[in-house]
Amino acid sequence: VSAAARAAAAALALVAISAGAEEPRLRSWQGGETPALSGVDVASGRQVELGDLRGRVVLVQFWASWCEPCEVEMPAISRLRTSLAARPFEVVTVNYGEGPARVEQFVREHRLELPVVLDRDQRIGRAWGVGGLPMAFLVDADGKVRSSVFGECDWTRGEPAAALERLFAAAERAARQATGRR
Amino acid sequence: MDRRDFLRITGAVTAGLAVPGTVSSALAQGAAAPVAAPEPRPGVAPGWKVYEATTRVEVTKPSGVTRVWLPTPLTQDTAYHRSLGNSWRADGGTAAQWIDPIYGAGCVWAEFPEGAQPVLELTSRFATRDIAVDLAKPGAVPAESPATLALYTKSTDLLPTGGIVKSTSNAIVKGAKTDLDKVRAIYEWVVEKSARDPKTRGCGVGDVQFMLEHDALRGKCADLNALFVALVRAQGIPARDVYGIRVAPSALGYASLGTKAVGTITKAQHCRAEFYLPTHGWVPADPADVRKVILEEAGGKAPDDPMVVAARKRLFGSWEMNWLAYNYGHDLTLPESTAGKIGFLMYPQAETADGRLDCLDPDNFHYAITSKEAV
Repeated sequence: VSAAARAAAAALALVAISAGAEEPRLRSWQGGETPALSGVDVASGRQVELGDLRGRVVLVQFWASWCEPCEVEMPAISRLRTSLAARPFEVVTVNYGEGPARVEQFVREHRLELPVVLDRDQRIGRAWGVGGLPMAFLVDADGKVRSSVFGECDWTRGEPAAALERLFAAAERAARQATGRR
Repeated sequence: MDRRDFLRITGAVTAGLAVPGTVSSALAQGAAAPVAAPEPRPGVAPGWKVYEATTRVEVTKPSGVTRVWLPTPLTQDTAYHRSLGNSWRADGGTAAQWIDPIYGAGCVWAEFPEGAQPVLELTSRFATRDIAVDLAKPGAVPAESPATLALYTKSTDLLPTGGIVKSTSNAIVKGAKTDLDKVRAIYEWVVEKSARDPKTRGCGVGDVQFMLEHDALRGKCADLNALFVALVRAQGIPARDVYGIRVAPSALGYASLGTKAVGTITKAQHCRAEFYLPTHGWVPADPADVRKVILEEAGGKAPDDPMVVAARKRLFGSWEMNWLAYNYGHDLTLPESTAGKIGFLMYPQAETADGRLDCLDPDNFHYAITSKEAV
């Protein structure tokens, strides 16, 4: 069953699991090719294309303002992006199903410094197999989805941090090799 | 129904009235039938109660053409539910009744031009009576068509029946000999393993594969009863979600399983489940409501509390019908919708030029639903 077909939940929103109840489990991606992800960043108005971020590890984060764990997690993701500014890293967040006014208010109130793409008709979420929020995906520097996690996740420790570090190491190694070849 | 049929049927009429039967069927097939006056219906038989439910939707931030879809009661009469007709108003727009050709899921939908203030109001009358199937007494039941049984055994987008659903189902029913034993095992498993999560938005989504893969067996009725239905279907036994809304308090003493009073029911949406046995016909069930009793009744009850034990027994084979049944539909493409399929139709739906509106976002989409018992 394709991810697109599976999560066709239409205008209804998703299950938000309780924050921090259990250690989230990183799952290997089984969804095949990386789904498309593009849109206009709500804050800057710039076009965001996942395909343009090759060479960097990308954390794709799906969220909504009504999702309580997301409210806790999004500022942490924003801080993570700042703290990893020296690494080959980028974050793309996707708001699941809400309108621009609500999203802009949330970004403003939480002082987020993150690209936010709207997914009003939830097509992006369906393509990525999003069946609950928050949900995040790690995309390697080659643009391939490597893993996903459902539920609030601390990316600064444990297995999530280790997974990030492994992808950074691969990206930095590839970058050094590319430099050497030149 | 294509756009031309829609216009031909509705014309400039902004209010309508229709009853189940010939008119609805004709509209569903796109025929150019006028909206007819209601047919006379028999009086209320003993044991039946007649209710009237009114939904009023206002799209507060319209953009371009606005469309609104509202679910109507079951379009087929059952042993526990009869639809007595729908009437609607859509001032400034055009409206019609539509019935999904696969599941028979009905809705009244309206289209408003740019500049209109979209308001759609729908009143539905229906009759219900409590239903209980004696599972200890198999017997002759009216035959269900093979096509219907096949429909309610197949996979849907949110209810796949293979993969992890099939393997989980097989593990649950191991050792069960009859289909009734298998369904009962699945019912008990869902009650034991799942939990009602009060933080779930709306009634949940019911993405069963996601729930099993992520060990996320928490949610509300659309999650937990969908889990039950998918696991039953995975055994080749017909089962279906029945989407609806509670319309009255419980007369059985379960405050959590009814409205606080007959009146405002805007947030009382609730889906149930049925399964089919050749020896019993369609059998009602509701494992999600067992978890609701555990979570909510009198501040929370232990699973071995007599009230929970009674609900658990009762909700495998019977329903109290203080509830309006809308439809059995899955993966519905609403008429003229441009935003893709919806998993099920239990909440009002709307789209503007900006796309589908979040039906649970009061900033964009105001609606109120009321109910009353008709005299």
